Amino acid sequence: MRLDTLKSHEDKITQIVSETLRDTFKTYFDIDIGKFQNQDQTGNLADGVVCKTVFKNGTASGAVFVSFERPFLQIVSGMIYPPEAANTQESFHSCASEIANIVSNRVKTYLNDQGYSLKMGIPSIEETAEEDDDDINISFSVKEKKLFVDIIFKEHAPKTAA
Amino acid sequence: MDADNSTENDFDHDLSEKRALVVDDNMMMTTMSKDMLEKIGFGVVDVARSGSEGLARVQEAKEEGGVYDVVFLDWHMPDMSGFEVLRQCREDTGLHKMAIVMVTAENQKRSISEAMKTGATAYTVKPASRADLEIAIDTVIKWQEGLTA
Repeated sequence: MRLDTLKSHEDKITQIVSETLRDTFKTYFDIDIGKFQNQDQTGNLADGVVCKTVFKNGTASGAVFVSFERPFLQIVSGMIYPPEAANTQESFHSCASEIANIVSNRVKTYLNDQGYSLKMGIPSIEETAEEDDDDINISFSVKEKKLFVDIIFKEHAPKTAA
Repeated sequence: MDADNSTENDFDHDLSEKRALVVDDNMMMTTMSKDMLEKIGFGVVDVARSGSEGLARVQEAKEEGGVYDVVFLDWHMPDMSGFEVLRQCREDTGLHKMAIVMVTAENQKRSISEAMKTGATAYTVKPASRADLEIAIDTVIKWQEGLTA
């Protein structure tokens, strides 16, 4: 089985992302995250941290962007690290990367269950989240702070022999 | 920190003489895991922030005559994957009593099966709670008891 379009799997992917984030925040921080809202807004926040995880094989590629408001990362970082280490770029990035890593793995597993053999990269911190006509945008509210998950995925035409 | 943030050690097994190594490239995970494992009762919990550093720490400990009792190992790391660390450890007969618990977001059935066939003692999918780690440690203890029986 393959995807017709990423959008045609929006409900299932949204469910997977939502469940994964709920489970992650409950387990690690004992925080209940708010209901998601689908919206056509990518997670390019004025003062945010964007974490990108790429996955690809020979004929398909995609990425999961998880974007956090900086005050949100200050809250979770403060729950993990001692005060002298909590309010640093490294601590923010480590929290963002780990949450992105868990979400991205779940999305990759779903796509591979549809018949792909995608390999996933290591999450990296980026300037912005990319946009695409067929992308999926999901937003969450955590302690009144925002978190966005944006997913893009493309199949490429196979190369034809000359 | 985690949902179960009890500071009391109510785990059934005495781990005060046991040494653990956490191998994960993510600082949040090494911080949380070390804290949880110390609360569970491990006497020593060391940390390595990459696959190659983890492998070096394991070899170093072996050469000093103090093989780690258990290694908690992430899968996806930039320099050397946890799977490669697992594979190399299992090729070393001097480490046959060292338990290896995969603690990873990698949750594909094929990957879990591959890790177990390669010699992982237990497999825990992130996000891993303290209860999840205790279940894995229970499996480790039974496995180590089986080796000495």
